[in-house]
This record gives sequence, structure tokens and C-alpha cells, in this order.
Amino acid sequence: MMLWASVEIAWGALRANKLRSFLTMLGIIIGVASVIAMVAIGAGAETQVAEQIRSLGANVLMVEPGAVRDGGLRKESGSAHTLTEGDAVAIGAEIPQGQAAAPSIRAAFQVVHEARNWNTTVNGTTGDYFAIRDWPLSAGRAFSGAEEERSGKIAVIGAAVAKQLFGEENPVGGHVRIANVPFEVIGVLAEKGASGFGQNQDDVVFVPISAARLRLIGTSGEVTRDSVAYILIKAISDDALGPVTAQIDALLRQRHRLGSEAESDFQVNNPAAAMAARRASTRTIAWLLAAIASVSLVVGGISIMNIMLVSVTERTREIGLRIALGARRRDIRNQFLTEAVTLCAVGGLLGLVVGTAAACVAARLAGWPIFITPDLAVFAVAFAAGIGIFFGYYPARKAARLEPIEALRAE
Amino acid sequence: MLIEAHRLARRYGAGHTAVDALGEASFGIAEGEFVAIMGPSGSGKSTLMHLIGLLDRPTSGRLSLLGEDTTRLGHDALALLRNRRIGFLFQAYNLLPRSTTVENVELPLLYSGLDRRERRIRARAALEAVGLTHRGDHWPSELSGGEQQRAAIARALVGDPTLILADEPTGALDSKTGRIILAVFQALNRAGRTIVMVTHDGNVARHARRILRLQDGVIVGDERVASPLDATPRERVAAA
Repeated sequence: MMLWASVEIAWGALRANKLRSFLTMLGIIIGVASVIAMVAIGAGAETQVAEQIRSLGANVLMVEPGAVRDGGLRKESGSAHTLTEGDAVAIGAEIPQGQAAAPSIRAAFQVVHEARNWNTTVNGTTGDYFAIRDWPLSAGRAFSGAEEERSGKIAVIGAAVAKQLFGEENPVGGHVRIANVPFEVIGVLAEKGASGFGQNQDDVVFVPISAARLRLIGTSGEVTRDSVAYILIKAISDDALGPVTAQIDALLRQRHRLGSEAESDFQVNNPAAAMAARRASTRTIAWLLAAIASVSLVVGGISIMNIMLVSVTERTREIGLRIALGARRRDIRNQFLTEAVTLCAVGGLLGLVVGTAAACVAARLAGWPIFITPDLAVFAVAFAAGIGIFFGYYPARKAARLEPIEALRAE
Repeated sequence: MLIEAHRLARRYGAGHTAVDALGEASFGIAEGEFVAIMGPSGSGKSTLMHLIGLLDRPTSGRLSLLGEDTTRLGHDALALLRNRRIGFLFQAYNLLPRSTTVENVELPLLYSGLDRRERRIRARAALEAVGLTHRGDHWPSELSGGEQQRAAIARALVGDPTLILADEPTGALDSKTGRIILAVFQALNRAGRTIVMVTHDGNVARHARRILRLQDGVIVGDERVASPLDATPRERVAAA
């Protein structure tokens, strides 16, 4: 018997029992839909985290001051003013595996351009900052060393700030006023999107650290002497991150004159590592959810088997008739196997549609990229059909092995 | 000889509870015969029919179909013989309720590997031969008992088998409708088709040209019917 003929027979049998066929399929539909949705959502979340790690810049370490100790009270990390520009210079000079070190101070300001104004973070740093974070400019240029020396009133602005203050205008060459001090915009940074910790990285204005200290932040009394909020360091390679961390630790303890017993008044963090850990846990959860979803696929397969067994019993007489009319055992087996596989494959297709829809909704709500590849779709439907073969085989074999006389006598 | 049985026996069960449904029957049926196998219920006539129809295997003895010993054949070879050589008729018609009449008639061809178009053409021709041309697209449940049995005859004929094997074909029909079926048989037989019919009804059996009588699994009579009853004159039926 030709394959197409068995598909016809199977389709006819399934159509004859529409509600039952649908209910049987439901398990597969739900199973495939949840596997698709879980894998797609997991992959989407992971892609997003990977994107964030990339946007951080490669091989970046961050040194922050430790917490202030006020008697027994410890304030939050970064509240102490123990880290200085001198530390940054020393790190840059004395650690060979550190490519660059950029000190940074920051504060929020109302930034004004003509009639528009926008509250954003002003970050005083050096030109190395952009190189450390692998952050290209979309227009203009970064600060030069000379401009940093003479506390030039120049600014490099993030894409979000450019949009808020300049709209469609070209910001380069324009002026913004920060705390009533006019700064010339010399560059616009390329868009980076949200950081791994949620804030919009493009909502920022960079000025030379000397200018920030002299004209903006120094006057607020917040920052004493030459202390900085943090220092970013770029190591030459991924492998160098460990040694560089240890070297910074040793160097700063020495510079801060800390005895061997004393607690460090700073900390060296690897933000990418924190994100990578989050990525790993995201992946674990995604796979766990997919595994749970595939359990429902197995349950769906069992219900297919159950219904196929019922169907074989109900149609014993039909099987007997078919054998009498010349069906071979394999024809009978293929007929029921085709029926199970058709159920599962159709269920798989419907599940694919439902799962894709669910993943799209979830991706839209979470702002993730949609992540359904054609091979995932093909795999899901093929896997469902495989479940049909696995769980359909036993009932089909049972049908094929019926004794024709007894089958014909069945009621 | 179309069918040759040599000491054909079928025993059910084993040991003390074993039942000899058929004990060492030997007979032959030539091509072109119309044979009725007759006997009361439990006489072994159904067992014999199942053996002739290759639906069951004998416990001992030999059964040849067209000179070929069937007792050594495997499942697939038997299925092929049933498909090509034998057309079955059942007391309960055994039409599939969820297939149309013409689809039912097509069934044996499905297992002959014919394509859809060819199957449909042959099934329509077989329906025409039993006078059901106009009923092909109806569901079996919409047909009368006689029409259902005629559809079943069309199904038995569609593969152009050498032998028609009928198990109580008139058993579920009233006598008038039963005669229509017998008339179809007689017309088919006149056209050269071999027919073996199992019945417990002597009146039905007398329409055949030869009667094999069974009792308790033993052939107790094998007679030629000198002048078989003719079912045709009282009902005009289109038949092959």
C-alpha cells in the first residue's frame, strides 16, 4: 500500500472523530507550544544579556571606593572618598597588563540647549573611557589630552541626550549649558542601549574630568580633593583579568598604606563576570523550563497512545475486514502509525503557531529580541512526529497482530 | 482444481479441552463451480470457510489454491492471495460506516497498489455491475440491507478474484431480498465465476449446483444439485 493511501485513511479516521482527535492533539499542542515558547524566551533573554556584556566593553574592570565607616555604621559601597585620580594614573603606569585606566566622577545636572532641557548624568572622565568601553562616536570626536589639561568646556554627549536636546539637528558644534556653564558639543556617541543593570547608557554627557571638577562638581562640595567615583581599567586580554585584579589590589593597598590586617577601602569588580553569572542562571532557568515543558510533551504522547489503543479496540472489526481484503500486517501497522504521526505532526504544527505567538508576546513585553529559528521550528514538529512514532508503535503493532477471524467476530 | 483440501483439520485448544472443529476433510472444488457448504451451527462450516479463505491455518493437512500449497506460505503471501484471488462476503456486510459506498468498494484495490483514479474507475464499474451506480456516493447507512449486500458483492468483485467466498450472505436479509442476492450469484456463476457459499438454510443451498454437507466437523454429504432453484425469474436484477 502506498504511503499516500495510508495518510488518506488516517486523515479520514481523524476527521470522523474531530473532537476526540483535537482533544488528543491538545497534549501535543500544549507540549510543543511550551517548549517553543520556553526555548525562544530563554534564547531571547540570553541574547539580550550577551548584548549587554558586549556593550560594557571587553575585559573591563571597575575599581570603586569602599564604604565609609562612621563608628559602627557602614555606609554604602562607593561612599568613601578614598579613590583618587592619582590611583588611576598609578594603575595606568604600573600595571603592564592594564591597557588603560580612566577615572570618573559624576553627578546629575539639568542640561540646557536653547529652549530644551533634560536631566541627565554628567560624567567627568578622560578620553580613554571610550576606548575602554569600546564605545565609538557616531559624529564628531573625543577629548584630546590638551583639552583635558586645560579643563576645556567641551562635551561628548550620548545618543539619548542628543535626541532630547537637539532632535533632528546636528549637535556637533552646538552648545549646551550645564549648571549655567556653556559647553561645546564636540562629539556624539553611538547608541548602546540599556545596560545590564537597567539604565539607559545613552542618557549621559561626558566632559573632561578636570573641567567637571573645576566648573561643575568641585563646586558642589560633594567631592573632596581629587577623589573619584570609580576607575575603569581595560586589561589586555580575558586571561589578564585575574592577574590585573590582584595587581590593582596590591598596588592600591600599598598606595593607601593599608597594613596586612586592614580591610581594603576599595573594591575591584568585574562587571562582565556578574553579568555572565546572570546569563548562566538565565540559561539554566530556560533549560529547566524547557525540560518541564517537554514533560508535558511526553504526557501528550501517552494520551496519544491511550487513544490509539482505544481506537484499535473500537475498530477491531474494521481491521479484520482489511486483513480479509488483503491488507498485510505492515499495511495495518502503517495505517495506525500514520494516524498517530498525523495527530502528533498536526498537533506539533498547531503548537508551533501557539508557541511562536506566546514567545512573541513575551518578547514584546520584556523588550527582548524574538528568537525562533527555522531549525527550532522544524525540530519541534519533527520531534512531535517522533513522539507519534514512539507512542503509536505499540498500538499499531497490536492492531497488525490481530488474528483475522477473531477480529472479524468482534463487535 | 481451484481448491484442493487433503485431510484438512483444524483443532482449537489443546489437551482435554481440545475441540476438533474440522476433522480431516478432503475434497476438491473446480473452477466455475457454485458450491454451498451446509450444516447446522457448530458443524464446522465457518471453520472450513476461514481455512479456504486463508484467514486461518489448518492444524494438519494440506490446502492448495490453484495448485499452490498454502499451508507453508507466510503472512504477506497469504495476504496477497486473499487480495488477488478471493472476494469475501459476510453476513453482516462489513461495510465501513464512515466511508462512502464507492470508497468501501475501493478497499481491496487500496492493497493492490492501484492509484486513486484507477481505483475509482474500477469501483464505479463494479457498482454498475450490481446495479448500484446511483448509490456510490451515499453512506452505507443510507442503503437498504439488500443494497448494502450488493455493495459488498461489488467490493468482492472489484479485484476480479477467481473465487467468491460468501459466509451466510442472505442470513441478515428477508427472503425476497435474499433471492436478489442469490440471483446475482447465479448470474456471476453463469459468467464463469467460482462461488463458495456457507449457509445453514437448505432452501438457499438449493440455488447452488453442488452441496457439501458438514456435521460435527465431518463431511457427511457431497451432492450435485440436479436442478438448482433459479432466483432470477421473479426479480429482474442487473448483474454481471
